[in-house]
Amino acid sequence: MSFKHTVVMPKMSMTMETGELIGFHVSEGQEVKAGDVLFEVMTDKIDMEVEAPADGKIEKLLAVPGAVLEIGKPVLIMETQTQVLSFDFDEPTTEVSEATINASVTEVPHQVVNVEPVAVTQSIINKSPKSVPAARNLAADKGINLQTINPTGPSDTITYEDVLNANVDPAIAKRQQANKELIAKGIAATLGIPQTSFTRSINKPTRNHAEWHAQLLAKWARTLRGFGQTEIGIALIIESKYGSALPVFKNPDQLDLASLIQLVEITTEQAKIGKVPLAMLNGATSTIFDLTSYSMTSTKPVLFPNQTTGLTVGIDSNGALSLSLTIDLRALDFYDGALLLDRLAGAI
Amino acid sequence: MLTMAEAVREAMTIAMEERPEVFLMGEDVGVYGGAFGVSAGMYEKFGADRVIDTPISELGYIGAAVGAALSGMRPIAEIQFSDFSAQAMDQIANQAAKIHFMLGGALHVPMVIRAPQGSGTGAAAQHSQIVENWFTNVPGLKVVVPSNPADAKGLLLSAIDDPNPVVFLEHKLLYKTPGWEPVPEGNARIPLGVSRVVRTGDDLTIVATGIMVKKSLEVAEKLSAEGIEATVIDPRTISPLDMSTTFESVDLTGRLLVVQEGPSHGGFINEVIAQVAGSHVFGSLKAPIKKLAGLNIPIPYAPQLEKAAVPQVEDIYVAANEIVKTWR
Repeated sequence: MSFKHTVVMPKMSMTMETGELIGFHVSEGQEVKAGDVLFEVMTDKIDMEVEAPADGKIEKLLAVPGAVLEIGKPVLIMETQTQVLSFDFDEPTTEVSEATINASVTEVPHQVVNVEPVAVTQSIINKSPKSVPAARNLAADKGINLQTINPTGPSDTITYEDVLNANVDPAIAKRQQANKELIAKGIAATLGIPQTSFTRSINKPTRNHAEWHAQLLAKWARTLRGFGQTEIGIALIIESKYGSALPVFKNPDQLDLASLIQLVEITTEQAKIGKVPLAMLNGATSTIFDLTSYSMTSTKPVLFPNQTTGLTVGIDSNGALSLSLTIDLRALDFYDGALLLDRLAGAI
Repeated sequence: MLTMAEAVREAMTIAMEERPEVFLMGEDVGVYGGAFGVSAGMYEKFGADRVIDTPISELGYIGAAVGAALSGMRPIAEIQFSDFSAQAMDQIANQAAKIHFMLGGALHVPMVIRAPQGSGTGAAAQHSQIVENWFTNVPGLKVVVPSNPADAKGLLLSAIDDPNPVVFLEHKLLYKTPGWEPVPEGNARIPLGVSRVVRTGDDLTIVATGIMVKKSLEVAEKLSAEGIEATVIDPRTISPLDMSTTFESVDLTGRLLVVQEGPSHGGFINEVIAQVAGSHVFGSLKAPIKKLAGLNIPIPYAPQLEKAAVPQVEDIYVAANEIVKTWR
């Protein structure tokens, strides 16, 4: 006996109302196993891959990449051998009949905001276009979907220059923009906070990146803890293809160094490709921005929402490490700020 | 500037002056001075005991060279045309190359077989072959293919020092020509198994040996005038094969053109291609790897056909242009 299961736009956070379908990982008629990625969804907070709830076969794709769908709206229908229990949404999902399926394929389901649909047709969605290896790697680095590139090489092959000249995937560009706006919005909100900044230099060479970041996280957390903070979350700013990512390391001083190094290493790798675990998105009380690899001395550290301290680390003209700290004066006073920075410098 | 023939003669002379156990033998190498004049004057200098004219039997005197090497001598055996090495193949492939290994390392076979190879002299199919690939498939042999007089001198000195049998193949069209740089004075060695970057450029990597290096350099200069910069790499020793600089260069340029005069099928450049395709620099490739080699035919006698049978400067130019311009 077989069942028809409608996979819908899932609710991925408390505030989520709509999600944008970035693209399918499956095509109609394809056999899938439970856990296989069906499609990718982007929201204002996170990106997520939606997986198949059971083994089965993709019967119909109901939405078009680029479409913004309300929670609970159908995205695809799959045939399964076991009955799959649906998510429980505020709005009950309705059974999708054969007629509604046919109707919904022909129109873009429920556009909430105007978006440029990604130029992808169903027939090529899962067919990897031909490209030279260097083009493939460059596309991955730039976050460009090869399927959006017009090949100019022989035998319809995407060349290196094709990728070099290509625009970033609209879905990714949109995410980059959304990310920027989100951060700007947050920073703007903190401008009204009375704050002050301190800078000091120490002679200390930086080493292996993950190890250095792990030590910095642990030392900064320990310093903050010495000041009476108990629940410490430190956001480390990491450059990713979607713009800055800010994974939050919770109480990093309570992990042993080896595990912390490993965590920093893995998180950095993940963040670079735009994947920050859900659990690491919230709860920052401080931010670290490491500028050492850019050979810069400092930037004025900013306070992100709900954070009382912001720290930047740079290299000054003498090659010494330059620490800059901004504090929220409602939580800490001038003297506290100076002392915090002095203690951190001592710890380093 | 010394020619290739003079540079090879200088290396042999230095080695014979340095070590009494080094001697030269082959057909017409003595009184006549060698079919290509490589050993001219050496008979007069070293005498009949150290510059030995042999009967016309490659099997015989290569066998004698193997025996001499096993007895503590360091023979240099010249084969008049490398094509004739087929006569001596058992001694080369089954004896010289294997003895060290079959005797558990107890004995070494320090000998050098020098021979001219290549087409371009109108000498037809039995005197024009590139035979390097006959030997690269025999483990136990080292195979050296010099592209210019300066390298030939340093490489031959290393080959004579080497405790293993080394096949040293000189292109006959290079004998009378000087290289692009003077041959250094003295007895400096160039290690075997180390490739050389002859020219650097960011757009394309050309790997070539022997006379194809000279042709590739000519093409690189022509391309440079058109704004395309090529790196030219000469492995110099094709067995063992040093790939490190090729990997490094391909990582930078993303485009690889390999050129050999010998027939395409089974050539050592296939090894170069396979290694790049299977290496960490695969992901840097911006273009399919391009191969230029001789046709799989016996070298024709007719000059126009002889020319058409192996890559010429124009062919290299067209291929280089194609992979740079088609694969941006």
